[in-house]
Amino acid sequence: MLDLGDLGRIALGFALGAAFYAAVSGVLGLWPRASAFALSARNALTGVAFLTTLALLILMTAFVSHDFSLAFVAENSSRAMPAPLALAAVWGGQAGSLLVWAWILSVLSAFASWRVRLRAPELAPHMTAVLALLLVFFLAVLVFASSPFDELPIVPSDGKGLNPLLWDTAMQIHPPLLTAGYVSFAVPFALAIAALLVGKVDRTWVRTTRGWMLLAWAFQGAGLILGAWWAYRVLGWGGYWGWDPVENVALVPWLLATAYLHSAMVQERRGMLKTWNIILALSAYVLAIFGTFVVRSGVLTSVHAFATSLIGPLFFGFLGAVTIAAVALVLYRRPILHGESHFESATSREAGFLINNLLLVSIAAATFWGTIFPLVSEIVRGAKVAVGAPFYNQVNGPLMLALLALVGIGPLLSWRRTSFRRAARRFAVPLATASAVSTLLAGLGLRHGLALIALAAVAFVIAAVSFEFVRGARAYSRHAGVGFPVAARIVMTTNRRRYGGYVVHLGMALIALAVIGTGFFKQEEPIALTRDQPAVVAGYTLTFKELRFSTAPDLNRVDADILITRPNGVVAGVVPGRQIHRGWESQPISRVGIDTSWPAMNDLYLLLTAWDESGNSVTLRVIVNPLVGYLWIGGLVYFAGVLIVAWPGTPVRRPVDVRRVEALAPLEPAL
Amino acid sequence: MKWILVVILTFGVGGALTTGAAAEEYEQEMWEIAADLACPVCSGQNVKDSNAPLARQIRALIMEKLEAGEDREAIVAFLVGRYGEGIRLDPPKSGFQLGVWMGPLVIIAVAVGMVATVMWRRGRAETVPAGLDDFVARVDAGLARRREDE
Repeated sequence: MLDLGDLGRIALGFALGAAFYAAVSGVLGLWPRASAFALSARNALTGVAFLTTLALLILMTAFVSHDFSLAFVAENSSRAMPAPLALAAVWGGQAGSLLVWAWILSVLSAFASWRVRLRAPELAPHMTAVLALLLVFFLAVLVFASSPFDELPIVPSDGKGLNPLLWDTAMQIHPPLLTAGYVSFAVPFALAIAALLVGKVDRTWVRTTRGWMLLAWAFQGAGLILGAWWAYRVLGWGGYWGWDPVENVALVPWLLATAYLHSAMVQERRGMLKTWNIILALSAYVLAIFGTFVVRSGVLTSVHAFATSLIGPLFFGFLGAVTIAAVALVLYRRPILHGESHFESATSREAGFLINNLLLVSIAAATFWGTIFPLVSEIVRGAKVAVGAPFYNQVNGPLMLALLALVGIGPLLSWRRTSFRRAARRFAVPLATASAVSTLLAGLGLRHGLALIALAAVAFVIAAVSFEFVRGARAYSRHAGVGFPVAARIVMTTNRRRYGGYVVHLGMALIALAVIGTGFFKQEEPIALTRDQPAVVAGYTLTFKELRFSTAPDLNRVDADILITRPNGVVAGVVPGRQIHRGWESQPISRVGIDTSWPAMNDLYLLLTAWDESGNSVTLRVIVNPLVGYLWIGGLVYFAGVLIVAWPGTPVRRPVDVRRVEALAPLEPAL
Repeated sequence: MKWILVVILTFGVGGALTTGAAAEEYEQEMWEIAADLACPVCSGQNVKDSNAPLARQIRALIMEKLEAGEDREAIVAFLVGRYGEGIRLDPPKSGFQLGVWMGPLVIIAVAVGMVATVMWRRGRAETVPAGLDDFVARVDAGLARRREDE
């Protein structure tokens, strides 16, 4: 009789076999007369996707049915866990995360090899072969080094349970989203390798890659925001981003993808920056792999953790192989990577994109360098050092401020060159808004110079985006003779790339607002409260009403009812607490009490740090996080913008454009 | 008589306020120092945010040393001696750790150099073939006319 472990191992084994077949026939299929092999490779990838889906379903079944004969299930779940939580435990450990990784990669590969064939038939076979090779690696790791289907010789009666920090809704979505992000960078990478192999780094390549990069970028961005949300509500230190290595390595590929999405426009439009775009597409994936390697191998905690599992050396080898292959190919194809035109003016849209790329890549590189520096120090001198938030704030802070300003300025520049008259017209409203806002804030008593500049930049971006949209809609309304609302809708739907991008910019401005609020104006104070005696902290009045103890089968919990009055007089209740899970006694979990005020989105963030068993007094850590709620709103706006850009369906192009392109087409080589 | 009372009250209250303010100032500085120290027994938390017993001890130690008149540098040096360089989240801008600060500067310098080269090259850009600009203008004008007809 086969048990779940056997079934899972069989599914994974066959998946590896099918992926290996896909890789071999994919490579054979690259010869012109053997295209049947290419078709076969594509079909084999569909088979791999089917088999990994099966393996994932088997593992999920094992979790839901509490089959503790599997070591991975016993390590990461317990009987007390309800089904949704048990399912989330699939990515609570290394082997399960790798299975999710391989599953997403296989589904994506099957989908990409089918879809790219329609859009870029020349690149599809090469891309399929590369994706199949990547799949072979991940499935081989799953089968030989870190399998979630390993069985225990003696079946325990209950499992160890999941780390209580992961008992959270955000944790059920954040890890698979981030994994999907990391994995999706594989398609732009495979497309870049394909373009280099074929020798055609043309507009078809850049357009096709852009779509897949957008997907990876959206997943990664959503994963980052959700991770911040989880950290803020669950970890209980009052912040959402700590420049922790695990966060940094997830941010770096996202930054490179952001750079690509902008510089791709320059290549699409002017045929420039080919080498640059290829390098961005390649390095985003290499750094995504690096991120996984760092998280999985534990190498950043200590170099010595590297050797303790096979995963470290395997990923390191893979990383090296991928990097060497990519660099060699770029060097080999240097002759075809020349640009088709040149920069004409420093005040052009393309120059704006170039500076945007400079800033994004500098932030990514500085973050990467800070993250690996402790490792470098340990290898070179044998001494551990730490590089923490102060470094990143000092280095990335100014770069991010410059980037924020550019988010406002860039879209106002014209392609090729911006005339002074045009600039004056387009900059007037945003500049006026920015100076009005900063004057107003200074008048209200805001004396923090840097914060004033940053807030002015936010105002500039929001004004620029709104003004551009209104201007576009009004021009259309006048031109087509329709009402403004109709024009606004048509403008938005016919130029989704542009206006969706603006919506993303709006989201970034809102996120910046939250970062400015918490970065410059966060207040923090410990306070002891006696029952029914109001105390004032940072403008809030806090009254401790009652301490409640409760027990559930697997946890003990204490809650403090705090009555608060906001600075504007609104009364609300906040309940900070603490709970201790059975089996995790050394790790008590804070239940953060948060009060968000609308529309300033200021958070009063309460942590229960100590209490008197009799219930007469409590000690709280009180944190006021101004504007922090805009981070989550900004995240939603970002995602809405991505959806507008990526919504399926052919955008309706203005017929004028098509005819203009056709009329000029014979002259294209000269252009 | 009255003015003596005023003087005493002023100095008395003033004195009390100064001591209170000093303690608060020390505490403020203690939190600032703690924010730039890694908690040696936690993963990814600083001494300020951590609730670990060791983090609390370090905070108390910093407070003690501040009250004894030591400055930030001396306190950090003492803690580095005890827990190793890994405790400093804010790498010093000297010695080996200068490297971590130089990295971004080098990167930015290289990036600015690259952008400058690319922009400079525009001087040598091939000029648009003569007459082409004129042609593009005529196409645009024609299309604009047709657009108006529609």
